[in-house]
Amino acid sequence: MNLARSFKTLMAGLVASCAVLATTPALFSADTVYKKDGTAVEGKIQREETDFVVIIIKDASGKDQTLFLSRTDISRIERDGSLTNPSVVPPKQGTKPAEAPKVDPTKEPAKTEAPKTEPAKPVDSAKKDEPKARSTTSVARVAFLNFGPPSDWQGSAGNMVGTVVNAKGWRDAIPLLEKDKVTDVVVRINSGGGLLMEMEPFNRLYEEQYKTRFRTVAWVESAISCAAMSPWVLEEFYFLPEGNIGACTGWRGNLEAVAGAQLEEVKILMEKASQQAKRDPKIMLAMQIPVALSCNIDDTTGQVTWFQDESGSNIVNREGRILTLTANEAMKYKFGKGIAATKEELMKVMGYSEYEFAGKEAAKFIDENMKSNDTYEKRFQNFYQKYDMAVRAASQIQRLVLPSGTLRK
Amino acid sequence: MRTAARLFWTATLSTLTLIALAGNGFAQAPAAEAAPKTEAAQPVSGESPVKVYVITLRGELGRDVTKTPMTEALKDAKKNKADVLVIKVDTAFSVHQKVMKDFDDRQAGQAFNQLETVRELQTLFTDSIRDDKDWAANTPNGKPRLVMWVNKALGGAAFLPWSSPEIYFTSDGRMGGVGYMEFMFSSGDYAPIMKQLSLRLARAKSLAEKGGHEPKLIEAMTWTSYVLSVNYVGDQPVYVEDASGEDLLTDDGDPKTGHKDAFPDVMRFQGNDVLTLDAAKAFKVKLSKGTANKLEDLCYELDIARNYVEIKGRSDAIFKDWSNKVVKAEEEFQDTVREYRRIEVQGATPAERNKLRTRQMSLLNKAREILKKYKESVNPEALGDPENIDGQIDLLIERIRQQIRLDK
Repeated sequence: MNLARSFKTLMAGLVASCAVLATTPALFSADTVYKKDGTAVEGKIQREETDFVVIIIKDASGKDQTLFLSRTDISRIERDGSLTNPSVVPPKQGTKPAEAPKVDPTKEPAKTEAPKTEPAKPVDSAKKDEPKARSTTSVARVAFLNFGPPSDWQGSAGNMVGTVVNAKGWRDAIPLLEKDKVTDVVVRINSGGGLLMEMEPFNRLYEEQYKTRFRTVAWVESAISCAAMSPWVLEEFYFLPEGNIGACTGWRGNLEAVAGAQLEEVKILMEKASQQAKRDPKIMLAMQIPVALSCNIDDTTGQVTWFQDESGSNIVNREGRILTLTANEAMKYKFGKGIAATKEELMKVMGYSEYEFAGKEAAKFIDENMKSNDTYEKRFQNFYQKYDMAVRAASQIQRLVLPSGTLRK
Repeated sequence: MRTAARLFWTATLSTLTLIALAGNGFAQAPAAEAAPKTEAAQPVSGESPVKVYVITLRGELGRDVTKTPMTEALKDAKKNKADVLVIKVDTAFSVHQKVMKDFDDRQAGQAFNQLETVRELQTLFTDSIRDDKDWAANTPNGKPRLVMWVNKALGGAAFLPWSSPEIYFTSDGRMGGVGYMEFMFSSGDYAPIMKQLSLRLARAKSLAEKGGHEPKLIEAMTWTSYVLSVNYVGDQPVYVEDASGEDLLTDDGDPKTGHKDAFPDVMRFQGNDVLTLDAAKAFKVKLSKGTANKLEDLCYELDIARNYVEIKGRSDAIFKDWSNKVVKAEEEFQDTVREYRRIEVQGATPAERNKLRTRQMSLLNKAREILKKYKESVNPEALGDPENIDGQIDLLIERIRQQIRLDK
């Protein structure tokens, strides 16, 4: 590093420091974190965890910077003038809100075979355009369904959309959800993607069958490619702390890009899905093809305006890159509705103080469906070869059988 | 200042310990530098000591370090009611038993293949412990305090510590060897390659976010052309994605601008095309909370030095046993397959021939059972992909069954 550069970086550092410590833009809602060393950081607290606080500050050029502050370094937090003791932290992971009623697991028999009830039918078109609104007086009955096996399954099943995860299984689960009077469905996603042909059936299923019956939300561990596009019609996306979503570029064979009419078809489908989710289609496009995405966020209203270039004050995706959002990025750009590590935390960020966990039979059905699909997928080639072998053997046996029906010695 | 204070207290405590031992009539040589001190620190009167359980991860990630031994080790920590769970990362820089040089930071391709193993493994010491209602640590939430202690985290193991909020380094500690990811695909169209890179990078960055760490550091460790520098507001790092910051962590590595690292610098860990973290750098950017070479030093950093006891758990034995069993299993698998191949189905009667065929099936089933038990660890480059082998064995058995049916 030469002297000129050292001077330049020193000055830049000083300017940045002064900007952070001495100024707070009037429109930038101010939280102040006072540190034990006597310094203070002003910005907007984005996330509070047991061990740390994430705060967005403005740098010298007015751009957002993310700071992680350890709880052990914090003496107090002031939110728009109100003081918070740093020892008062959000609920520990794994703790359950006191008001959460227990659900008796014995109420739900462990059935795994396909339900015999009638397949779900769409509700009438008058209701179709509105997501399910739940009565505010009733207790939410929330089902968690796995869209791909969570990482804590330790790789015991595959996660491919279209083979392991399929729309038919999710359609068949609806009667089970209804039988258990489920009001809310959480689609917990962990999948690296799959077959484009399964995307539209999922879009339609979630839009026409799920959203009209249940408050249906996504809770993302990792939603890549088809696993992001399939539930894209959902309006509420929540994230695990390690969550991520995007990388929706279609490809085949040896990383050959889907192009031409097929690419346009997928783009059109996603434009429709974005519209159904009341989401700007530019976000999905940046996940599909290497185009830029930036945004401005109104400091007062929080409204986000998206640009398909780098002209916004927040660069979300550089030109030439494919977008995959992490959980914090999703929150920063107001794509995500909240981050939750546990089911109980999710209930809180979904706004519930009273809820019951329900739909265990449906959840089990979906899980078993994935496991058996995974087995069939892995064994498909074998089945075919075994079938071929059996046919050959059968033809040999026929040649050995005498007209009397006994085997020739 | 902090280091000076730490040294002072460590020295003072060591002196006090020696005086106490001398007073009891014991003569003891100072502990060797490399050997961690495992005696209990003197408990503070009236308080039960903090129980520290150390799991040291050695060998290869995905072979020696996998879900089975990790689950067993954590069970042992739970049984021993650990209050602090220290996971020391000291893994080999290797993939499928091919060993890389420590300075070789161009291994993103291999490292990201191990990322999925990391994503799954980290749930065991984070989410699974959190959700386990039977853990009974003497902590406010009944869960052990999780501490990652980095000595050698190169390659895929470099992603392992990030999901924990507390990371410490040894003075020789290194984390990296995951760079040059732009070059991990040698063929394919531009957009699908960018998609593959994007999802991998995001999944790695997400682990950093889970632990409350700066994900930009992950990008700097992996993406060559990514420029990252840092300013310090107080002692807090504020990152800038260009070279204007006070400390330049990575330049664009572009040979046209003369930024490509020279090989001698790379060999001396002085390159900056991609970020390799050592103890000093990791501490300065606040990824590491401190540097400690011995457990007692670490406990000082954890503020439990005066009142802890190291649990003599079984974790070392568990991991060592697993590694030995994997090696034996691979040998046994190969011996079994060899024996199967040696059998020539001959005989005067169908009964004689079918007896040999039955023996063949028995050997194939034995090989399959070995594979089933150790498939998370076996070297696919030595034996082949366990899933494929399983399918092939299935077909061979089916073929033998057909032969038995026909040979009457």
